[in-house]
Amino acid sequence: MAIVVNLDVMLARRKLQLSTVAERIGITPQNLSVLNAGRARAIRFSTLEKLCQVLECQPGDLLAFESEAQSRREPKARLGG
Amino acid sequence: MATTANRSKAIERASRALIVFFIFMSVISVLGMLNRITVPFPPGTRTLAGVVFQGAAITGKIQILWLMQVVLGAALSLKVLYHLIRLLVLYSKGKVFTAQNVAQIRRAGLTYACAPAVWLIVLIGAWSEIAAAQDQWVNIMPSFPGGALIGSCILLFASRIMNEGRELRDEQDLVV
Repeated sequence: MAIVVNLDVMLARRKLQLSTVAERIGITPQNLSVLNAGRARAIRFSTLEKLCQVLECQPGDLLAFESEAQSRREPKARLGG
Repeated sequence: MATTANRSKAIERASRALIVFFIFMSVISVLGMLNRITVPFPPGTRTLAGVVFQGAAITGKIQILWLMQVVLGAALSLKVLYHLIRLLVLYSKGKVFTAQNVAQIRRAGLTYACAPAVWLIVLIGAWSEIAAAQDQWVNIMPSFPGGALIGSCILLFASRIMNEGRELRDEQDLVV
C-alpha cells in the first residue's frame, strides 16, 4: 500500500521547473525535491494547497494510491518509508 | 510567545556565554591540578582513596599513585569539559538534535564514568599500604566519586533522549 507522488508529471505538463515552483510556494527546492523523490513522510495541507494553486490542479492529480501489486508492476516515486 | 527564530537565537547566545565559562573552568582545572601537585594540602600528606599518608608512609609507590590520581582526575575533568564545549559550539551554530550533539553528550558521560575506575585502580594499587591503615578504612567509601557516577548516568540518559529528539527531527525534516 503506498501513496504515489506525481509531481514530476504535473511539472512537465505545466512546463515548470522544480526550483520555480518551490520559490512560488515558499519552500526550499531541497524540501520539494524530497517530495519529488518520494522520500517525504508527510505533506502539510498548506503545502498541498499551494502546490495545487501554482500547478492549477487537484490534489488527486498530484497524489495517487497504488496497491503493492500495482507498485511491483510500475515502480514510481512514493510517499512514506 | 517566542518565535522559533527567537528561541534559536536565545540558545545560540546562551551557548556562546557557556563556552566562555567552560573554557574558564578548564583553565581553573589545569591550574588547580598544578597547584595540588606543587603544594599538596594538607602539607606533607598524600591522600589516596580517602586514606591519608604522611611522613615515612609516603613511599615512591604512594607518590606515583597519588600523582596518577591527581593527573588522571584533572584529565578526566578536562575531557568532560572538552566534550561539553564542543557540544556548546554546535548549539552556538544553531545545530540542535544532531548526531554530533548526541555523540558529544555520550562521550562526556562515558568519560565521567571513568572516575570510579581511577579511584578503584588507586585503591587496588595502594591496597597493601591502605590495608595497614585500618583506622582510616572508614574514610574509603566516602571518597568514592559517586557524584561522577551519577553525572555519568544523567549524561548517558540525556544522550538517549537527545537521540530520540534527533530521530523526531529527522522525521520532521521529511515533512514537506
